[in-house]
Amino acid sequence: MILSGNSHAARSLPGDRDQGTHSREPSRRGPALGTVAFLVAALLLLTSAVSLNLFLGRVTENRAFVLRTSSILRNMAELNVVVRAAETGQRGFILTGERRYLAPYETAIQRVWAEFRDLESAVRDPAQIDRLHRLRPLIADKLAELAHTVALRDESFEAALAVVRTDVGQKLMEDIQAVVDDFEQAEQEIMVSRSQLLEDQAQWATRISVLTAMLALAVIVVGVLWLARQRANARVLATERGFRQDLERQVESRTEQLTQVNRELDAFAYTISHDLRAPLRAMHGYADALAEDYGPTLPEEGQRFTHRIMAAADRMEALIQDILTYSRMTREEVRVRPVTLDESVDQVLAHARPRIEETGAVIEVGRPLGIVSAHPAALELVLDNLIANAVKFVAPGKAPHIRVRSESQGDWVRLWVEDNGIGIDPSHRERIFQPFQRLHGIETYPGTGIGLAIVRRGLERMGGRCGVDAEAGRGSRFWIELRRADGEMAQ
Amino acid sequence: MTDGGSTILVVEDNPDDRDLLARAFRKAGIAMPLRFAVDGEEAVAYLEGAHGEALVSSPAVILLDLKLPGRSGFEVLAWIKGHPVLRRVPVIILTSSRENVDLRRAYDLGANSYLVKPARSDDLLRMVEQIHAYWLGINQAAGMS
Repeated sequence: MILSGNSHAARSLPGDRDQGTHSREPSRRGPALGTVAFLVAALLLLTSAVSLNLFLGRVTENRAFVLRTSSILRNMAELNVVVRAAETGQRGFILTGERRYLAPYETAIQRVWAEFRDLESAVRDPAQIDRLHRLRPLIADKLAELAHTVALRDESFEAALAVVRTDVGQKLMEDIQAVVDDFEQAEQEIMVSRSQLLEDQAQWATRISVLTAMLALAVIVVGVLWLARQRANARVLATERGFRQDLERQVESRTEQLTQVNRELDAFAYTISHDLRAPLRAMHGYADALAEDYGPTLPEEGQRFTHRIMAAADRMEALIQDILTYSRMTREEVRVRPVTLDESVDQVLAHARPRIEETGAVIEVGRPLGIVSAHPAALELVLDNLIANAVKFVAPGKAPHIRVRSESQGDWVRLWVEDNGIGIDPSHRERIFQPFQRLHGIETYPGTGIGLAIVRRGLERMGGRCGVDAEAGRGSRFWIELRRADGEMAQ
Repeated sequence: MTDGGSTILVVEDNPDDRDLLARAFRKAGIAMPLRFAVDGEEAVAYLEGAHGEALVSSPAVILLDLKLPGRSGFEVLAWIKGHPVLRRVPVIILTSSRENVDLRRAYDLGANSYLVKPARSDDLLRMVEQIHAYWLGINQAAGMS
C-alpha cells in the first residue's frame, strides 16, 4: 500500500514538472526577443534622431546662406542705386550750376564705400569676390570722373560739358553696370541652387522626422508590450511558484502522513511479532509438553487432538513469519549492488538441503548464472521461495526435478526455475503472486500463500520483474529478471 | 564450569514462557538454579541486592526479554552494561522480535547474544542445551571478585 502510494506520488510529480517547463519555455524565450526588439528599435530611433539633428543643422546653415545671398543682392542693388544717384546729382549740377542739385551726389559719395565694404564683408564666393575686385576700380574711376566734372563746372559749364562729351563717364557707367549685372546674375544663380538644396534638405529632414516619429512610436509600442510581457511573465512565475510551493507542501504533508502510517505499520508488525507469538508459543509448548509428559496415558483421540493443536500452532507460526517477512520486504530499505547469482543459489540450496534430501529432489544448475544488481538477502529470500515452491508442488509419489538456468536479455538477466510439478492453470498465473492466494487445500500442499507475493515484492523492491510460464500438469517455469551488473563487478 | 556465578537470571514477564523455559532447563538436566524476575524493576532490584551482599555472587548468565512492562529490556540491558561489575556478566537477549531495529539496538547496548524464542518445545530444548553448552560451558567468564 505504501509502495503504491509512493510510486503514485513519484509518477505524478514529474508530470507536473513537465507541464511547468512547457509553459515556461516560450515565456523564457519571449523576454529575450522582446529585449532585442526593444534595443534595435531604440538604436534606430537614436540614429534617426542624430541624423535629423545633422540635417536640421545643415538646413539652418543653408537658410542663413540663402538669406545672406538675398541681402548681398539687396546690397548690390543699393550700391547700383547709390552710384546712379551720384551721377544724377552731377548731371543736374552741370546742367543748372545750382548747388542744391549736388545734394544727392554728396549723399551718394558718402554712402558708396560704406555700401561697398558691406558687400565685401558679406561675399564669400571666390568668383563674386573677383567681380567685386573688378568693380572697385571702376567705381573709384567713376567717382573720380564725377568729382572732376563737378570741380570743372565750378569754373565753367563748357569745360565740364567737354569732359562729359568725352563719354568716359558713360563708358565707366556701362562697365559698372555690366559688372553689377554679372554679379547679380551670379548671385541669383547661387541663390537658386542654394534654395534648391535647402528645399531638398527640408524634404529629407521632413522624411527623417516622420521616420523618427514612427520609430519613437514603435519603441513606445514595443516597450509597452515588453513591459506587459514582463509583468505577465512575473505573474506566471509567481503563480507557478505558488503552485510549486503548494505541491511541495502537499508532498510534505503526504510524506508526513506516509511516515506516520509506516510508523504505525512498524508498531503493528512489532506487536504481531511479540504479542501474537507469545500465546502461540504457550499453545505449542504446552501441547508438546502434554504429548511428551502424558502422551502414553492419553487415549488415542486425546493424542490426535494434541497433534492437531501442534500442527495448527506450526501453521500459525509460519503464517506470522511470512507476514512479517512480507512486511519487512515492503518496509525495509533495499539497496542493490552487484551479486553473483551462482553464490546466492548455492546459499539457498545449502539452506534447503534437508527439504531437498527429504523429497529426493534433483536440482540442476546451469552455470554460470551471471551477475545481477540485487540486494543479497532479498534475492536469497526470493530464490528460497521459488525453490521451495518447485520442491513442494509435485504430484504425490513423484520426485521433484528442478532446473535452474539463466539467459541474458539485453540489460537484463532472466533466471528460470523450472520444475516437473503439477503446474498452474494459466488463468491463475496472475493470482498466485498476490498475498494469501492459495490454489490448493491446506492438506494437499501446506503453505501460507505468501511465498510468491514475497517473490514479487522482493523483485519490485530490487527493480526487477517476475512471472511464470505454466500449463496445468506440465510443470511450472518461473522466471525472475534483474538488471545485469557484469560491468560494475569488473570495476 | 566457570567461576562466574551460580545462578541463571531469567527476566521474563510471560508466565507461560517462564514455565516452558523452566521445563526445558529441567528436561536438559541443568542443575544450576534459575532465578526469575517478572519485570525490569525486579531484575534491577535483584541484581543490586546480589551485588550489595558480598556473599551472594552475580548470576553466571542473564536471559533477558526485551518487551517488559515498566522498565523495558533495553533499559535493563543499558543499566547492566553501565554497571562497573555487572557489565561483565553475559547477557543473552531472548525475545520473539526478529526486527532489525531491536537487533541493532540490543547489540549497540552491549548484548552478548541475541536469540529468538522458538515456537516448538523441542527447538526450545535444543536452544537451552546449547546455551548451557556454550555460555555455561566453553565460554570463559570474567571473575567477579
